[in-house]
Amino acid sequence: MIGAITAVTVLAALVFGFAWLMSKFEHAANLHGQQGTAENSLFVDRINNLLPQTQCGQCGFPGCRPYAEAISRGENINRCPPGGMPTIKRLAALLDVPVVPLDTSHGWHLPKRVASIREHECIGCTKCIQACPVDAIVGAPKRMHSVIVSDCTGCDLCVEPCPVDCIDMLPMPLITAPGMVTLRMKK
Amino acid sequence: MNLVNHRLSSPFLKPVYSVPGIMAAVLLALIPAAICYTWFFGIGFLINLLITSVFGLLFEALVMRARGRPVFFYLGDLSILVTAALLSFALPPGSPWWIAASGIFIACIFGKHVFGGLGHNVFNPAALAYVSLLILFPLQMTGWYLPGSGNYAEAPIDPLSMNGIFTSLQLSFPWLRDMALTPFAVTPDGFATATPLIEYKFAAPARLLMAESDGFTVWQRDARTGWEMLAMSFALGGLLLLWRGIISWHIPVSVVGMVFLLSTVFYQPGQEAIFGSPWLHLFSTSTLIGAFFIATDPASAPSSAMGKVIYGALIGAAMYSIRIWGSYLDSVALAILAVNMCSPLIEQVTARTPLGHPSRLQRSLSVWRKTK
Amino acid sequence: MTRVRRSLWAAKYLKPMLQRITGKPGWSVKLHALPGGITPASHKFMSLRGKIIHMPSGKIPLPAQLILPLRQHSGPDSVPVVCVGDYVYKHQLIAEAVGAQGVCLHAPSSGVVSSITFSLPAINPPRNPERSWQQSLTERQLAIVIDTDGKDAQLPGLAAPIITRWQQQSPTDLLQAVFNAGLCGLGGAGFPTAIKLGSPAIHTLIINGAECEPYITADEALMQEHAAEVIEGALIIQRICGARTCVIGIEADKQEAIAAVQQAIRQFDSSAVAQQSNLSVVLVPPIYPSGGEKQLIRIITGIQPPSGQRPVDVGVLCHSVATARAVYKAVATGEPLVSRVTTVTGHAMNAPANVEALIGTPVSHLLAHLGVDDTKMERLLVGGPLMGYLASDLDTPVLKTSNCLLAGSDQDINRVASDKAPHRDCIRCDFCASVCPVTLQPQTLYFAARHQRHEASIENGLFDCIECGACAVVCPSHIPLVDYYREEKSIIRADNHSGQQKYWQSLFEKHQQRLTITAVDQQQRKLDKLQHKLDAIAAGESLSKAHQPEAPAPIAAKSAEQIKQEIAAAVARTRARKVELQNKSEDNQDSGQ
Repeated sequence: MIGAITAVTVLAALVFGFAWLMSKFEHAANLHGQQGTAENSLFVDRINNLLPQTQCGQCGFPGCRPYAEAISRGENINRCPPGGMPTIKRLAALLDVPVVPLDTSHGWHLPKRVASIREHECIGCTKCIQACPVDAIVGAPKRMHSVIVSDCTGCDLCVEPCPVDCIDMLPMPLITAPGMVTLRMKK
Repeated sequence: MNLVNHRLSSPFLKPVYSVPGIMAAVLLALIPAAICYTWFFGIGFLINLLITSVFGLLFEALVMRARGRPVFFYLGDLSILVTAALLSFALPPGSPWWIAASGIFIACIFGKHVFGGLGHNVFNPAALAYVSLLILFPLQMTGWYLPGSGNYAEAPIDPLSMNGIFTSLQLSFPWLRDMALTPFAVTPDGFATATPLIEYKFAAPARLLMAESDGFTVWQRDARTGWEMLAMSFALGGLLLLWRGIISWHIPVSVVGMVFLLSTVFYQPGQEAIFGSPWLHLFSTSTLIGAFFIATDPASAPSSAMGKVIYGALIGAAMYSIRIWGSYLDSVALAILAVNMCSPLIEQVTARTPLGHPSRLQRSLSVWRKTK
Repeated sequence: MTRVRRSLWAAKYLKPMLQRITGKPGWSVKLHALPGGITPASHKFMSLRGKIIHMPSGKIPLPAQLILPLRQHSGPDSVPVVCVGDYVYKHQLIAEAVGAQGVCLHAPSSGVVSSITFSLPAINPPRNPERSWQQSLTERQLAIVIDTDGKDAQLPGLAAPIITRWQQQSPTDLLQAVFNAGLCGLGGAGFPTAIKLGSPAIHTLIINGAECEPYITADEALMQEHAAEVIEGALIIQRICGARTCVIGIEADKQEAIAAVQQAIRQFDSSAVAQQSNLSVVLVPPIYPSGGEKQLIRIITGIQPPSGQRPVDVGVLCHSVATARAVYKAVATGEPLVSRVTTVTGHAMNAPANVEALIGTPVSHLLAHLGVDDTKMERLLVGGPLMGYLASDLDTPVLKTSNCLLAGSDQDINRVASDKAPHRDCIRCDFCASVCPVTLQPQTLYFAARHQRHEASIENGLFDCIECGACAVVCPSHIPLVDYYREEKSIIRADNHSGQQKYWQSLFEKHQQRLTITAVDQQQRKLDKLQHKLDAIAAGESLSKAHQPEAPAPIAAKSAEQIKQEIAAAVARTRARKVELQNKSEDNQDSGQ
């Protein structure tokens, strides 16, 4: 009987230790369970496809793909404010981890906006061009810059470096599908 | 009209079933069998049930804690209690407490959570635990020290008398005897007996037949007739589940049908000891608890109707074959575990095609035509 | 625990059989079994107590505003042909159909167009294929708003010509009349009626009176009170599409409606038209999704259109009784589709009833005049509790497709949120599979959808799912299965890989590549400079002429050999870094592809 109790205790210690380790590396375990290879680029792609691709860096990583790689290594899934709850839910489903609320220390989930340069104020310093992660701002040194609205992800990264504060984040223009009529919402 | 914290899309109808509800229904359906078991074999079963339930909840809570899930939400699904109850029915009523504890440990950890928890288990946890115990502790698992098994004793003890109750307690907690806490001096080692099937396998005279020849009827309280009453009470509980729509008819009917068919085909009236009668196979063994409660575990069974029939028939055939031609003692749990392994394949082969899609046959025909 | 699942066979087989034995007339068609289905509590008696309330009446006056969204059907938005400030008469065309799937829109009452503005979601959001359902909930669509003047004035010349003797008209003319009346399917999906009617090679016409969803009684009330119009509409449809047989499928528990329809058929029996039409009534089992288009067709004819095809492709046309009556009105009285029968019900209503409501009436107007208990109302659903959608606002207008307004109290509506309460894991109990009317494997689909295995979802028939919700209702783990399917459908449809996200992703990758290339270029430039220096030393030139007078000692300390070695080491270092960078950029390109 003492032998049995010892065996059960040892087994229990082993199993609970294993479960605890599993919970620590649950993402990684999922990853290997699903991929089975050291090369995990396919899995990172699947995570990356769920991210909103705003490349805003609010999660603390320089772009969506770096964050996807970090998630595959076990980073929290609630660091993406532009994606908000829908993204968290999809990530949780993909990784089989619990749904957690958005970590608002990285920002709030806001409707999509686009950058707009007050062009008469622009001094042509090209700092915003360098900051833009998707090359959505065109311009040349000492010349006026402008935002390509359809390319802008609304990431806010160009606002901070502007020395004259001439960049505004405006609500996304409303685009109706069939006629492709673009209307600007007015307050 | 508050739109927050509500469902945003259809269906808005209230759900009909719930997992705790289903589990509670299974527990309720086991009540007749529990009463019957206690009536015939003493409170050893209740002690086992208590131990497995308490330890089961404890292990479940610990695992859920370790897995970082909400503990009470997952304890609330009551599935561990169903496993505990089924395991308690499988354990010998007089086994020491640590048998029950390690059994529920195996069921909870290796039967369920190793695979990812409820719904992901490949094997039925109770059956897995029982078979593991049978391999780990063969001596304790095959000897039934029953207060009421009066076949060999000069003076059989009534299992529900004070003497019988204290005997059960002493059997489950051996240290009680050392501490001399019981007023009765009991010598349990005199009452060793075994399940009818073990008996039937090794001893030439079938005990049940003998009991019948002794003039016992099933209504009389005797450990030998108790088996049939127990099987009937399992069938009663199973019929309750069928009536409430918790289980479908496919698996029980095909298991029972297959066992009945095989035992009828191979039955030789002169050789009851080798090929038992269909009555013996159905009602003097654990066939019915297997058919109604263990094989119908939804997580480890296929989900299509056709798959269920195949699954049940395989279990029935395996049960009979292991019992007759195999060398293992108890066949039901082994048969179910063996067929559990085939269940993903059965599931895949018998998956029905949605309406409007070409059937499996049509698809293979078109492939065949193309290759031709 | 209600028994929903296993007791179906009685409703499915016994009841119709008994009725067949009792010899009710009209049994000419053999029924086929519908797989699955549920029998939830119907709650239909509430709204069937009284007659249909007509809208501009003492009980429910004309609303001050009518809101008419430009898309009430499945298809492109109609285009307004009136301007803000125009006076419009009753039945006047206010928006024209666009494209093949367009539908016209008419003014339900006279008044002034006060604005053309954004309104609330116009069509059942889950059925809008262009947007995901989450977006649709917050989507706004253009709508024409008419301030009514209460006169209900109608210009005599404005009305469409009434086709008095439609039996003599050609099907093309009748079809044109139907198109001009702005008809779309009134059952819920809103498919343009004219397109369906114009399909070639129709052999069977089925009029859908199997209103199987709980609470909704609009079609039942219609059959009870306007059976003759429904029958005549069915005959017109049959003439247009040229079907040989016409079957009216009614759920077996609607005894009054069945009696009324059979009475109306007997009246028509004398006419020559009805003689040719093979009109019959079939009682279908009262199981929940038996009123779905494909489900009803399967029950009555046994025909199952292949996956991805519509019933008209296999020669069966199915219209609801409400559409049949609208066709009758359009052809025989020249009235366009400006009103429909809507059930206003739910336990929050004081007097649930069926209302012949003008299209565009704000829901709040109907609720206010029928008496709603605001304290009890948890939510307002448009449609039934199984297929309906949530009205995000009480000013949502009644649309052509709104067959029910369900002011749900706690009693009617499941309050558990899908996001807030975590659901349990699937236990593979197969309850969902046993109730699925399309014989899908909902649990397999759930796993595919949850893990976003798109190919597996499609293979397992995700797009055959009619989103009837039966699986989610019986799921013991309370998994919001339909939510998962919708999300998966929207993901597959939106196809993230070719959409905006993929575009941004490619922009970001190009940006990263450009940065890499720039870095490599810079290194190359440095390398060239060093090489140049090396060449100069080899040629015996002295270095850093400008610096020599200021710091002569270090240069003097180093021999030419030393300097050469240092430069060579730097070149090697830079080369190595360059190679590394190039490898990295190649890696990026690889992973990008």
